[in-house]
Amino acid sequence: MKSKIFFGFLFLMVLSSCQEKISVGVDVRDRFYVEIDDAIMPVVVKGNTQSKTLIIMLHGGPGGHASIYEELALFEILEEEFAMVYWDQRCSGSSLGNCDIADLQISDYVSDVDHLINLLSSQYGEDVGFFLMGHSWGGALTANYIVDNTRASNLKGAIVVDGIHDFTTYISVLREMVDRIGSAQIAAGKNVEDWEKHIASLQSLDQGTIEDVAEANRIANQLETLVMDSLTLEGIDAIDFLDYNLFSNYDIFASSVNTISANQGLLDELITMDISPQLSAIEIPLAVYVGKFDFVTPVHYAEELVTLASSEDKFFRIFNGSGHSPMINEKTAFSTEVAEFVRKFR
Amino acid sequence: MKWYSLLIIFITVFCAVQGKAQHSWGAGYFSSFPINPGIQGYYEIPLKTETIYQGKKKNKQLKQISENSIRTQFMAYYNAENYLGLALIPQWIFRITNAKGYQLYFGPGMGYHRSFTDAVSYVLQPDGSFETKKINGQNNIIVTATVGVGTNPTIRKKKTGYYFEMGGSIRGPFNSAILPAVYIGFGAYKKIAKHEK
Repeated sequence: MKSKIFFGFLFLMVLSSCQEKISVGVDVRDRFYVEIDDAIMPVVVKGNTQSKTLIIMLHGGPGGHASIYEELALFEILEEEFAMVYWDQRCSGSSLGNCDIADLQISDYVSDVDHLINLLSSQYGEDVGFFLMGHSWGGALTANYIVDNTRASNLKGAIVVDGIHDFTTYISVLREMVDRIGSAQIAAGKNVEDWEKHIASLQSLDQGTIEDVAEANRIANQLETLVMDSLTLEGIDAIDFLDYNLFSNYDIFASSVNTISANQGLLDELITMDISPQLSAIEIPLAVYVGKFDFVTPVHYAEELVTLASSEDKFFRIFNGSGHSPMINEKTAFSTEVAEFVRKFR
Repeated sequence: MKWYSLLIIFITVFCAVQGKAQHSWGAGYFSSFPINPGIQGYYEIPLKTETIYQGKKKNKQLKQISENSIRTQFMAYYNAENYLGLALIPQWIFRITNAKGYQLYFGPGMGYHRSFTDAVSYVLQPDGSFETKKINGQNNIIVTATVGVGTNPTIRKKKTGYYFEMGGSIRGPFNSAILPAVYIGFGAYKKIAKHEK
């Protein structure tokens, strides 16, 4: 009897892990992998696939994970009307396979987006319309994808959220932003010591060295905590974060291993990346969103992207209560803005 | 909210003590961070036991028992999104038990881990098309370190007791790296003693 219970338990565990399905409906969740070269990458398609409109979410990083957007229900408003595609990129999130950091290139990621669109098109129908929505590093990836018009023709539109297209000016742009906001904060008597320390640190950094650019990025990631009183925090709270890290399907260990690999593999190429001269090639509908207090990828880059792009239909919005992640800070306003854009060009 | 998954963790470990050899076995719930519900079992064979008494002959009282043993641990756990994991890990355990039956134990282990991923993968072909295949999982070597406290089921007179243990493991190869993990185990046991005639 005991052995029957034991094997019954095992059988149920195996049975319930079966994930094979491609669904068309208003509230679907399909999960499968896409295998390109040695990378085995999980994909979740969630929401309204009946809409025939798929928004492919390109997560941050490099080496981040798409599950954070899904597990924290950051796009639940969009999922009602459209379908979101949450894809862990190669060497990112829960991706499997051999992540060879010696050969890792941005072009691999761009090419992966192509293949993913082909796969989704073959599975969900040739009549499906695709949008790319890239956040942070995903924004850089989106820009790299849409400057190629052949590739961009696969899309109905692109949404760049707190992205960056030029790392060669990063320290000077960040320094200008930190000086401006930091001076105002110091004048108001807020976190004076911290601001003075960070302003001085940035002054000592040199754009010419990889280590200094990485250090500037590390400082930028800390600065958002100094302006918390200016930020809205609608999407999640501390409990949600703890819940996500410990009690969700997100594998914190696997993701950390991948993050280190992707960062090591792409760092050199990323911080010398500058595709500004190619931005004028962008012709598809483009929405560029950024948080006012985003130090990681300053507003300057969003303004420059929307200025240089040749698209007839381009939209720009600064979210005044947001930092690097407006979909968290101003969840409803952000999703509403994206929904309007997608509705217009689907 | 998935907080409730923590609340349903309940472990019952049944331990059997068989004669002088004091072999023991256990079975119970196992979880790790992030929560991967599963089961675990072990069989433990003591290798060398040293008993220290205090007091003189007539008033001699047990002070401490230290013990080296070999434990073979089996784990089956489920990661809801990713895989079913199985592990078989021989461990060396060093255990100190005081006169009241409270114990501290720790030890390293090294064994085999296998993950089973029952998922569909679409594999890119040279012509750009995709071929469907099942993903089967990975074979790994797993190295662990465990530390635990509680009551010693083979020495304690009471028929019930408890333990709390925690540990860490590294598993590889995972992609091109090593995958770390930490885990906790805790629960109650009920002793089923079989004394030699």
